[in-house]
Amino acid sequence: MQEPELLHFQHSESLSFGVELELQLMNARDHDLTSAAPDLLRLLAKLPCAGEIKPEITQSMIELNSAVHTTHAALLENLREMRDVMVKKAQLLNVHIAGGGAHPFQQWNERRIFEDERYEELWKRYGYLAKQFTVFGQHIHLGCVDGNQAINLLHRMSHHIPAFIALSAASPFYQNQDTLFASSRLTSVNAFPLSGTMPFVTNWRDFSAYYRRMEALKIIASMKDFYWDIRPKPEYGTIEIRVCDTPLTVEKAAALAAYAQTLALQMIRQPQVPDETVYLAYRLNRFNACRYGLAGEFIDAVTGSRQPVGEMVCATIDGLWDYAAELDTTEPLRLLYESARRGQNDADILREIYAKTKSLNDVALRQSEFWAGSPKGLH
Amino acid sequence: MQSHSFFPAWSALDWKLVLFPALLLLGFSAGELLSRLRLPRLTGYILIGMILGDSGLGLIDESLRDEMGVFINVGLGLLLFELGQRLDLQWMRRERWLWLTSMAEIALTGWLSFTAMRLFGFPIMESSLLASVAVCTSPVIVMGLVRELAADGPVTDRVVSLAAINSIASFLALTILLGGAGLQYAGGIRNVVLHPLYLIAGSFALGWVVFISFRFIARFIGKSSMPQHAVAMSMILLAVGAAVALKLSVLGTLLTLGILAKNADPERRIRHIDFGVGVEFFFVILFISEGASITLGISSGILLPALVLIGVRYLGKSIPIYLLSGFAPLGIARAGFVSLAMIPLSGLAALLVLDTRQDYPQLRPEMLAVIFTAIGILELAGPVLASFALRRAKENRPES
Repeated sequence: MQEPELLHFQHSESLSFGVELELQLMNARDHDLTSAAPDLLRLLAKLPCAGEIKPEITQSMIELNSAVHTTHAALLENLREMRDVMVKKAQLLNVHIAGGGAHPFQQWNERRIFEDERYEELWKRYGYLAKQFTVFGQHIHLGCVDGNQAINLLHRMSHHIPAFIALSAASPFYQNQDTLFASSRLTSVNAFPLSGTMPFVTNWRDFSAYYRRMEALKIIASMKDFYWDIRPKPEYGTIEIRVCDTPLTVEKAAALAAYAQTLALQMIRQPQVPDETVYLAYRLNRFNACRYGLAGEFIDAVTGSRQPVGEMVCATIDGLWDYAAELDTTEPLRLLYESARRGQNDADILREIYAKTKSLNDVALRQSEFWAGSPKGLH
Repeated sequence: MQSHSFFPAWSALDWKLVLFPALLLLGFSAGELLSRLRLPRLTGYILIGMILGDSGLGLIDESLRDEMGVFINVGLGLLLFELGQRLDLQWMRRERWLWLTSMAEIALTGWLSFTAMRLFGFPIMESSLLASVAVCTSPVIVMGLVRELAADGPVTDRVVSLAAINSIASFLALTILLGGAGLQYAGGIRNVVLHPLYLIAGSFALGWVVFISFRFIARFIGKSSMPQHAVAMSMILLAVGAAVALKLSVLGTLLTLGILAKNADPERRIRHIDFGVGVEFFFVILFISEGASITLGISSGILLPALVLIGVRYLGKSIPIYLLSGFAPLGIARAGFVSLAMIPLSGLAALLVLDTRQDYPQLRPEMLAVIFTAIGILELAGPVLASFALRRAKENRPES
C-alpha cells in the first residue's frame, strides 16, 4: 500500500513564540457588544507596528496577532503597541475594546456573522453554534523545529492544560448570568464535533497519515477545522495552545505565553516520551479548571496525586526558575505564581466588581478599562 | 313592579373606550403589514394617523387627541431622553470631525434653506423660521427607527449624535427667532428677551433639577434594572409634565435630562435605560397622533417651495457629510447612509413655528403651509429612506 504524503511542517526557530488574542468590541452606551469590526478593521488597515489585526467569526469580535518573538519583553512591547493603536482608533468610532473570555450579558442571537466566505460557510454548517462562538480566547503559538518535536511537545503540554485554563479564566458571566464557572468560554467550544484532543499519535508521520485520512473522508479541509485544545500548525511551524480565555490585560497575556515558552524549554532540556496516561484524567481536570479555576482539583493520572490547580502551578513554576532565568521570564512567572498562590484569577476580579457594583454593564466597562491599560488593583 | 334593565343605555355608551383600543389595533396592524414589506412599522402608525386624522376621515378629533395626550407625552419623553443619553460628549471631544461635520451641516442647511425661501419671496423672518425647522432632523423619528431596528453601530451613533445636536440648534434658533418676531411685531423687553430666555434657561434648569433628583434617588436604589426603570419612567414623566405645565420646551428639557444623565454622572449611578418592547404602545399612539396632525392641503403655489426646501435641505446635510467623510473615521462609503438617515423632518420644530404664528398672526400663513407640506412628504419618505440606510449599513439587529 502506498504511504500517504507527509504533511509539510515549516521549520521554526525553537522557543520562538507569538500570541493571538480575540477581543470584544463594545459600544460606549451600555457596553453591550457592537458590530463595529468592519469599520474598525478599515481604520486599522495600516498598522504603525509589527503584527496583524484580523476579523473573527462575528462582527463584534476582532483578533490581534502579535509578531513572532523570542523574548517576553519584545512580545509585551509589541502587544502594548498594538493595544494602544487599536484603543486609539476604536475611540474615534466610540467603540471600547475589551479582554475577558466572554461578554457578561450580550445575547448571542443579536450577533452578525462577519461577511467572509469561510465564516458564512461556518454559519451554514454549524447554525447557532457559530454565533454562540462569540467568545474570546488567547492562542499561544510555540515554534518547533520539526513535526516530531511538535507532536512531542503537544502531548507533554497537555498535562498543563488545566493550569492554562485556570490561570487565564476570565468568563464567569455569560448571557446575563453568573455561570459559577471560572471559564464558561470553553463550554461553547465543546459543542463543536471536532473539538477535544488530538489522537494519541507519537510522530509526524503518523499524524500526517491521520490527517490525510480525515481529508480523504472530507471531514476536514484544513487544520483550522480541528477545534482541539492544542493543535499543530504546520504552516506556521508551531503548536497552538487554544484553551486560554483572553485575559483582561496584555501583561497577563504575555505572561501566559512566557509560561508556555519556559515549559517548552524545560521539556526540550528534559526529553521524555509522551505518556498516554495523561489523557485518562484529562477531561475531568479540564472541567475542574473551567468550573473552579485555581481551586479546582487536579488529578495527576501518572502519579495518582491530587491537588488544587493553583498548587500544581506553584509546584511547576518552582521547577522552572533556572529556565526562566535563562529566558528572562522570571518576572512574568512571578506574576503567575502570585496569582496561583493567592488563588485569584481574572474571573475572581470580575466577580468582585459585580459584587461591588451589582451591574454587569459596569463589569463590561471595567473590562474595557483594564484592557486600555488602567489596571487599578489588578494582579 | 317595574322591571329594572341591567343593560346599558345604547346612547350612553362611551365609545371612546372602544375607539382607543381600535386605534391601537389599527396602528399595530398597519405597522405589522409594512414590516412584512421591509418598511418601517412607524410609517404604518403615521399612515393610520393620516387616514383617520384631520386630512382624512377626521375621526381623530380634538377630544380624542386630548385623551391621547398623556400617552403622546410619555412616548415623546422616552424617545427624547434616550436621544440625549446617546449624545456622548467625551466621544465628541475625541472625534473632532464629528463636531465639524455637525456645525457644517447645520450652517449649510440653514443657509441654503434661508436663501431658497428668500428666492420664493418669503420675508427674512419667515425664511429664517423655515430654515430653522429645516435644520432639525426629527429626533423622534430617528430614535423611533433606532429602537424599531435595534440599530447599533458607528453609522447609527453618528446619525443619532448629529440629530441630537441639530435638534438643539434648531430649538435655540427658533426660540431666538421668537424674540425676533416679538421685536418685529410686538416690541417690549418681555417679548423680545424674556420669553426666549425663559424658554431656553427654563428648559435647561428644569432638565437639570430633574437630573439632580434622579441621581439622588439612584444613589439609594442602586443599579438593579427594575427600580432604575421605574424611577427613570417617573422622572421622564415628571420632566414632561412640568415642561408642559410651565410652558417650557419638552424637547429642550428632555434632551437636557438625557445629556446630563449620560455626561454628568461620573459614578454612573444612572444606568443606560433600554425601555424594551413594553413601551411600544406609547410610540404607536405618538406616531398615530403625529400622522393625524398633518394637514395635506397641497396647492401648486406651496408644493414647489416645499419640494425645493426638501431638496436644498438634503444638499445642506449631505454635502458636508460627504466632503468631510474623507477625513472622518467612517469613510466615504458609509457617508451616504448617514446623510440618508438624516432626512426625517421634525414635526416638533414645526409645532414651535405654529405656536409662534399663533402669537404673531402677522407672519405669512404660506410659511406654515410650506412647512406642513414638506413634513407631510417627509413623514412618509423620511422614515423609509432612513430605515433603508440603517439596514444597508447593516446596523439593524439581524432578525429585525
